Amino acid sequence: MSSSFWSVTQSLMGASLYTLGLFVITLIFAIPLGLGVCVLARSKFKPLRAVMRVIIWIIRGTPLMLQIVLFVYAPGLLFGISVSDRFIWVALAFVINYAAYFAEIYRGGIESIPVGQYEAGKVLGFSKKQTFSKIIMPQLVKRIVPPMGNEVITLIKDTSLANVVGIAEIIITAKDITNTTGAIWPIFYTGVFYLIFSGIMTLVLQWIEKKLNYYR
Amino acid sequence: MKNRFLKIAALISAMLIGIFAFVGCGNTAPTKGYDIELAKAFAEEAGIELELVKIEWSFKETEISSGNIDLIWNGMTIHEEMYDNLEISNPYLTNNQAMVIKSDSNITKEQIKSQKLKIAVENGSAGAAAAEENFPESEVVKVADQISALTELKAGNVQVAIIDSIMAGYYAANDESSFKGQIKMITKADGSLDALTTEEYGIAAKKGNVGLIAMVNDTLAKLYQNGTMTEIAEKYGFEKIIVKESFENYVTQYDKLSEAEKASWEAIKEKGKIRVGYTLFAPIAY
Repeated sequence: MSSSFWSVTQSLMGASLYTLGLFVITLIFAIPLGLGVCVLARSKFKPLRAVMRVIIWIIRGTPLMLQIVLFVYAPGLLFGISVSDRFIWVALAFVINYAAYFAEIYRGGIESIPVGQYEAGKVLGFSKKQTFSKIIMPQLVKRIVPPMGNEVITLIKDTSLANVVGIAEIIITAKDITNTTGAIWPIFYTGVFYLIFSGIMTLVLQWIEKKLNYYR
Repeated sequence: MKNRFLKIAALISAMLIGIFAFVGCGNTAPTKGYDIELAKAFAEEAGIELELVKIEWSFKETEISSGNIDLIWNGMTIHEEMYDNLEISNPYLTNNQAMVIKSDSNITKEQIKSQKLKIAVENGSAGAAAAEENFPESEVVKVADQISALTELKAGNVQVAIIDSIMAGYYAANDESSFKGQIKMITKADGSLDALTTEEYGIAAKKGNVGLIAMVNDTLAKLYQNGTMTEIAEKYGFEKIIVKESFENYVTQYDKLSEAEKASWEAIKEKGKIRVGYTLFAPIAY
């Protein structure tokens, strides 16, 4: 490894692929999974609801770092299955963790719609399904975008937690360059990469908000 | 206007993705370093393939116990308590805890003590233990790794850093290092290193994998006797710190084990591959 500016940039870009991969995989799977969790957590069947509440409590109540460690080591420690591709297990931990947060955001969105609108739908002769898809859903999507945006930006930075199990993401790559060459500036330089990522995501979110700018 | 802005944003993202695709995945598997070269020589001699697995150092015992890796081979200092939880090879390298100061200062060991100078160490390291034992009245700053201890020194937050002499020597001399020519180790009057403590590096396997460790010992002795180990050590200036007692007049261990004890090595031999956990740090693995 070398510490010239170009070679550090190149190494960090390579590491960004892990960050990017983890980010995209988490969003693709956690957004629908969160919806599933939200639906189950609001089910009319009380025990199921209770179970989902406990699961959400555990996932939101423990550090993501701990969950990553658990997902990578528990298969080997408990079941004797050694983990060969740890990236998959780390991604799984991220998906489950973020799904729990997304589920709560969806729930908040659903509960923020006044009951009167359901009643109005009923009076106007809409079926339950129609009320949800034609009246509730369009407002829901609008309302959850800002909190979802928050989580998305947080996710960009959370990807750095994957380094606890040795995934070669941006921060650990910079540290490795420092450990092998003794140059200390790369660790500060990583900030630029996160800023580029979150800058792009901010623009994308702005665009989504603009697209959803109906009912005005 | 807004639309053009978005177009530009889309273009930038497309470019970035293009660049990432062009650069490709950063393949960070180390090729240099004393332990890496020694592990490669071991694998070659034993007739198996070496797979290097990047780990986080504080989870090394967990990595071993869960079976995600077969060996920890990464400049690991042997402690007495480790024998309870791991199988450990014969020591293969000696390391000292050195007091590192800025090259333009003339601080002595006595001054650190009498003036209660601030010390930076790596949390949980042998240097941290040495600092507390030798300088109980000094304020000891515990940072995440050894290079951070040197950064504290360079930033002037502390006057002394206590780290491995092997690493300090490398960072003080390497051309790309931010510390080149700026740090030195406190020496005795005769110019030799004033070491606080001396320890030895060993290779670790899961508790019970006696056959695997016996094979590591046997193979390392072979590599010492045929000169390979010294050859590698000379590249890094380590020839004087090889633990010769471990390998001279060596009696092979593996032949004397029972079939059950040999099983851990047989399983690896069967797979044809050994997984070695590493973290990147010079001059051990980089």
